[in-house]
Amino acid sequence: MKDLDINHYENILIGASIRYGKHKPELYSFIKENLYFLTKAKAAFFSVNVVARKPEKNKPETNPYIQKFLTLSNWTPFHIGVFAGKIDYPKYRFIDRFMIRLIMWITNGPTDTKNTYEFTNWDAVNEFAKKISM
Amino acid sequence: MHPMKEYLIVDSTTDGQTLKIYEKIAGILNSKLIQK
Repeated sequence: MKDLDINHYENILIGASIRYGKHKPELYSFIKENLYFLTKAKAAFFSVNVVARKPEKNKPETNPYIQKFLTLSNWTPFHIGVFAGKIDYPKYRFIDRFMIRLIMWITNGPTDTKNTYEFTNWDAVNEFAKKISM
Repeated sequence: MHPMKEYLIVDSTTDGQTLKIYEKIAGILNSKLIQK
């Protein structure tokens, strides 16, 4: 979000998804530019990635993208959430459908491109929301 | 639980499922979600 002065906000929550194994570079630029205020405001962060569909990778401590994020961002959010996302094959462009299917095949995920798969654990989202509201 | 704040402002480029998660959180926080 360009030109957003986060100093004027009481609470801050940053959510970002993974595409082809990475969070967007803009996410890291935003954090770098606002690190002082994010720390001061005890900001929270959540990542959305399909890897988090796996029980052994659905917690901040065990999710590889959260671990990578913490290293690259140089920021430790006050609260961290990680949620599994969605695979919506019918909506993808041909090349994305092909690549995501390949990634799913490698990682034992669903490969039927006629279907949509939502992996989000809404109870976990609920818990996270309650935690950041306190 | 107390409301976090009145508005939850979200980047307009946020993708579908991430936005859906933001919406869910905004509902729990009793905040209105705004895309900017």
